[in-house]
Amino acid sequence: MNESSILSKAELLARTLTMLSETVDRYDLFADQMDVVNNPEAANIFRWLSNKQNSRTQVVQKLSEGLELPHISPWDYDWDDAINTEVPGHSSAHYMMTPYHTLSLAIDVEQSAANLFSEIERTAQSPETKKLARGFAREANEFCDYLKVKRSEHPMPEAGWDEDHDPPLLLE
Amino acid sequence: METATQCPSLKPKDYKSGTKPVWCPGCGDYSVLLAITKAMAEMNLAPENVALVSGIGCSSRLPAYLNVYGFHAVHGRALPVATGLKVSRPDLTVLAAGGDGDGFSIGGNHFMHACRRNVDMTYIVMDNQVYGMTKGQASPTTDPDWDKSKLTPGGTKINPYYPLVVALASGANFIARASSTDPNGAAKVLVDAIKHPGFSFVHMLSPCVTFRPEQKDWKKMVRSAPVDPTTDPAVAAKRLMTDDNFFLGTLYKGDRAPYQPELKTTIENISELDRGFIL
Amino acid sequence: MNDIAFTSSSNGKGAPRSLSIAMLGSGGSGVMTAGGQLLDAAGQAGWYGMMTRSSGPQIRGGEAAALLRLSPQPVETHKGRFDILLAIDWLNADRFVGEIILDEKSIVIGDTGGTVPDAISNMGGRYVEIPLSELAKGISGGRPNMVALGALAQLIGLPISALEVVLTKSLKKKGQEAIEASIAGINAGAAQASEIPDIPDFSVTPSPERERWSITGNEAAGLGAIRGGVRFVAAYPITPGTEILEWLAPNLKKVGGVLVQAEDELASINQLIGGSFGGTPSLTATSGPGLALMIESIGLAVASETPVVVVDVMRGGPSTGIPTKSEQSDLNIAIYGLHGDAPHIVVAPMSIGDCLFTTQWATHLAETLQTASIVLSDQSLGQTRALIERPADIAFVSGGRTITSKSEDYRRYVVNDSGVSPMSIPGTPGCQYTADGLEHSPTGTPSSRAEDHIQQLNKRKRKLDQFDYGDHWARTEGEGEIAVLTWGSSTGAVSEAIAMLEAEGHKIRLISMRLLLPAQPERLAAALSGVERILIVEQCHGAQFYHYLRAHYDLPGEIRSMAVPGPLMIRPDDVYSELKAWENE
Repeated sequence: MNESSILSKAELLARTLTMLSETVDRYDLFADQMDVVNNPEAANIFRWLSNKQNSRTQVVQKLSEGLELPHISPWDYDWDDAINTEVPGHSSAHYMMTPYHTLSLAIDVEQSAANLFSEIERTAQSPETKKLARGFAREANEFCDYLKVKRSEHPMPEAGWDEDHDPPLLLE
Repeated sequence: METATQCPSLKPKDYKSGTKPVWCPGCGDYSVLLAITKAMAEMNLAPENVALVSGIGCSSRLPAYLNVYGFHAVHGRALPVATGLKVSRPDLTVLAAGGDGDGFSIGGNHFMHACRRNVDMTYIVMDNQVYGMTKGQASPTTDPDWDKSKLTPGGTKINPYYPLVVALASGANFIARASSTDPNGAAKVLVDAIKHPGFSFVHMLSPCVTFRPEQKDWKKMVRSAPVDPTTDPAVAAKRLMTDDNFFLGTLYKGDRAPYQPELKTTIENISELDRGFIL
Repeated sequence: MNDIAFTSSSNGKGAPRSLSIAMLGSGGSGVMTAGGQLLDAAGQAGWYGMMTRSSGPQIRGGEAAALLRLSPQPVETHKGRFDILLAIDWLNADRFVGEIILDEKSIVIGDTGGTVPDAISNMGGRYVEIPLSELAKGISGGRPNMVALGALAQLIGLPISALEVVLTKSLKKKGQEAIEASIAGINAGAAQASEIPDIPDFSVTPSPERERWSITGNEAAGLGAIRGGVRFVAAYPITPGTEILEWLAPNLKKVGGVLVQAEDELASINQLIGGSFGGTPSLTATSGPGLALMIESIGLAVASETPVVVVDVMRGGPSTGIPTKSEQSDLNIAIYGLHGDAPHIVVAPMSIGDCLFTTQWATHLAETLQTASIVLSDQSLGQTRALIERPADIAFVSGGRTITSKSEDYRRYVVNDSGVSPMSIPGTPGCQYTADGLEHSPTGTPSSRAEDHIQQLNKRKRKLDQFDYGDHWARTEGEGEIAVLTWGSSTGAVSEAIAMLEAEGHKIRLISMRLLLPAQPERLAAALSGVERILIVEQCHGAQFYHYLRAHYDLPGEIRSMAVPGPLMIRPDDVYSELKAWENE
């Protein structure tokens, strides 16, 4: 993202809202995927992550009340698998992923988000935007720390965790 | 950045049907689905005025996951179904989608003629260089030495097909490449493709995590083509012939008039047709 | 006199009084054009009739024959025997020997100085020479075919004025000079023919003046399609179905429709499915090889319940077979070709005029029942031009197949009593669905569950089984303990053979089945009630119709199969002889 383009509070809010709601959608999708591949443990964690992220979305929505947020086309965001990970990429899911992997994925997301907001805080011109970005960065860092604690409750999977004794199925 | 004056009234997820995909977690096709919904939301298309037609294969499952009209046809025939629909219903926005096997192997002849016919539609081929639904056989775009399929031990030893070159030579009016590793960038290409009159071909790189796990590296290999779309077929030909399969963006925009017969009644009553037979 | 030209009887029964003429020529001699003009002029003069083209394999310059039959009554088949054979030249003429039968009462006319091939002269007939080329040379722009036309008109008592009307119309684009040259040729030929001694009276009494159409089966199928509501056609050219497309292309345009020439038959059938999915009734025309290519996607139309109509103008098979000749040998593929359990409609027109009705009906059935209809026409119906009475205007009510306004809880493949679930048309808000060739649940979601499969199989079968096809299922005539069961183009020969036997006092039933799938066992059982002998007539080496009947129906009494392959058509005399032989056993 070209941070210097973040000029106003409204614009930062618009970007943050899109980022958060896409993250909610992605966690929901991952939860559905894990249901389909019969991985309920990962599905439950993704649902929980989705709820958490959804509450944050609502907070940001409250902050945006009364403001006219600009419409930003998808391609005017930079986040994608190749460059940024503030929104989890589709390729980060695996059908045999464990709770450890699931939480690691979320930790990476929060870490990236915190980094992004810190960068915005550093480069933004308006004090109002700086303040808002600082707050978002703090929240992301706090959630990241919380996720790390959660992850410590699960063992790190050993090598070969993704070994499948059956071949893929034929569909059509 | 554009600050659009008109906000889309529907969000990307409003274009999804709620049916859970059968795709493997990690599959590139999820991103393509997302990119399509983002493109439709950006264009503010009413879901009932859009139809997406597909053939058979992993990526051809796409229509069921969208809240638009869909047709999941037989293997290789997405383009003719889409052609019949668009020619007889020019008011609809018609998309066709499928995989590299569906589009370039069993449906190869239709691909060539759809480019040539230049009906106003957008064809998205999700290329993962493998047949996923039948357990990972080589497709027309597979490298000759890829030897992981039991069907072609030691590799196919056949050169891959270059769909963008074929599209240009056959007369496609819009040629672009996008990647599932960048759904936002893909959404932009799709919006351009849908808006461009005539037959638009979008080569969509979409890794297969199950049979081609090495394709996860594609996200490091793709990059924006450092060129503007050309309208000159000769420039496009050179560009596409030297392409390494990882340049993203719109590479060619032609200006050929689309094929769309006028559907206008010129007689008052069909009984007028009888006259030709009366002695 | 009449005993030469006419098969007739005094009590009004029997085969139609008629006159058969063959015109031969090669290499641009223009016999086809002259034959067509003779037919149209006969129509102008108040006659009925038909003309079939027969030719060698060459694209240009080949030997060709125009086979005409003229009558005061409508005719549906040729007779084997010809009253007049006129050859502009005799090059390769012996190839038509099987098709044109002559006897000692026939008149054979050739250009002066020509040599009649032995194969033809051996059949008998009185040989007469007319200086066709020489007379043509004497006229500026004159042509031997016009001289021949004039000679024939004189011999059969066709007024020259009728020919003048037809020529003026057909040569309008070529200009007045061409018209005058042609008329001069006709007059020269007529004058010459009037000098031939002892010509029997071939003249046919014109029938009362009624609106008369000149139409081929292929054109009739095209008109039936448009009357049935077809507005989208996608097709790939193939002999002998192409003329349906050639007629439809300009005429669809007039009614706001379109014909797309597709890259192959796989494309054409799938384009139809797309067109129909969009709410536009869609049809294609093809022949056996094209039908074979389309079969997979006809199954898609059945499974996705997308109406499509495929007209197969059958030709000799298998493989490329005999593209320019007729055969009824695609019955099996039309009925059984689809993989899986795929109920669909198969219908067959039984005359040239009936190509109109049957195609229109097939479209109505496909639309109403949301399925695929296959129409089995054939080369002899499709490419023969007939003078027929104006076909009736029939309108079917095809309501209820679609919804175009928002509906709550819309389920495309909802399971209901009729088996026909409303089809929403793209553009209708709130009713979006995905049509699928994968087995699906009532909402259209792909499903491999046993329950969904049986429900959808039952639904797709039920909608066809429960529909009331009315009297259109067959043509049934006559009474008695003998029945002839037939279908399609063989009907004409059977019908005329029965008329010949009735004239001798026999009672025979004719049952020609228009609806072949779904089978109608109850209707056929009723039609066959009291029958003790059944002759099954079809133009097919493998007796496909016979086996089809054996598989789907309980047939009473003694059964005999008369299965004759193409390329020679079954003629009334063949069926007559078969029935006579059986009677005399």
